[in-house]
Amino acid sequence: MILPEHFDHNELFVLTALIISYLLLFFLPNRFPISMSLLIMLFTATVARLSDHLFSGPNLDLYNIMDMGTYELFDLFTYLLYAPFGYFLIYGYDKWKIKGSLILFYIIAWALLATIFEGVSSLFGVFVYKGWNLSYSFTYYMTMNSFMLLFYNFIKRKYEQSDTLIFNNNHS
Amino acid sequence: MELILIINISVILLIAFFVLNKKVSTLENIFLLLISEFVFSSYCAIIDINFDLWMIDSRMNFFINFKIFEIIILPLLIISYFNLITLFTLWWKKFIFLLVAIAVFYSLEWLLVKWSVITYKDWHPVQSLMAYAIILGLVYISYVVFRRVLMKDGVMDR
Repeated sequence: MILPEHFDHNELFVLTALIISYLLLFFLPNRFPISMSLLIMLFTATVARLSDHLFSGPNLDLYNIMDMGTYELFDLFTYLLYAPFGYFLIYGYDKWKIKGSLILFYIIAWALLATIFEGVSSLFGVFVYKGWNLSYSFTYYMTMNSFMLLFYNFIKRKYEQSDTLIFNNNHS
Repeated sequence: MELILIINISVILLIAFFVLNKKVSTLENIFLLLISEFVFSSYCAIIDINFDLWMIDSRMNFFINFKIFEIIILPLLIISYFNLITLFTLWWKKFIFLLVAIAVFYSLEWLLVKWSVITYKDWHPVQSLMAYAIILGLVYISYVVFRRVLMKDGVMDR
């Protein structure tokens, strides 16, 4: 894994965001079993990894992550940063029991939030756009947020089928 | 022709996986799929982009061939391996099955090399075999950890 050429603002931004998001994650009351939280976070990180591999890879090369077009150590840290983001999305969805047409607004709100965060990240040089545009990110996040919710509903059903008391409903 | 063949292989593998009498639970299979995707796509990026040890042909049909191999075929083979290994109880049978699995993984990579989708630069097939063994090891370790978490959560008995 390649280390950054210079340790500057983009690396600092990623590290700061990582610390804040994981602190928030640990201080939030437990809502899901650990295995379910792991699946949600791994799903988010893997989808981000595959998307970046496809869009920023040599063939399409629409943007760079961090300083170079290579797969750096801090690229891996950005995937670790995506993971709590997916967790918070599902956390709110489950906590506020979002249903019906509210789901649409919830997805749009999170897509907006994610796009704003990506815009701030790109100001710090985490993303260097070539053929990519921030407006594409909004479309991307709307699609992926929907998949995240579908994924959560799917695994939730599997957990419920396991006949085990798994949900921590003390905080609903 | 090559593209159609690789699509056929992936469709056959997909059907085979879904009709397979699975010994591993759905949640474990999801975990195995996600972790395999993450590890294998990272491995390909390191080999191809970071160290330039392989060259992936940039022509679109070749590119699609490689992506199908990377994103569908290999992760599916890895989760099928973890489902099928449970059929063997004796350690030497498990070991032989591991060797067979690595040979199968490599034979598909060899097909891509034959079709010039992958061109080795400073790379030897033995390194690929070793890499597959390491990838299986990494996936196995994370799988064991995840199983323990599932048991702790009370989702699985043993």
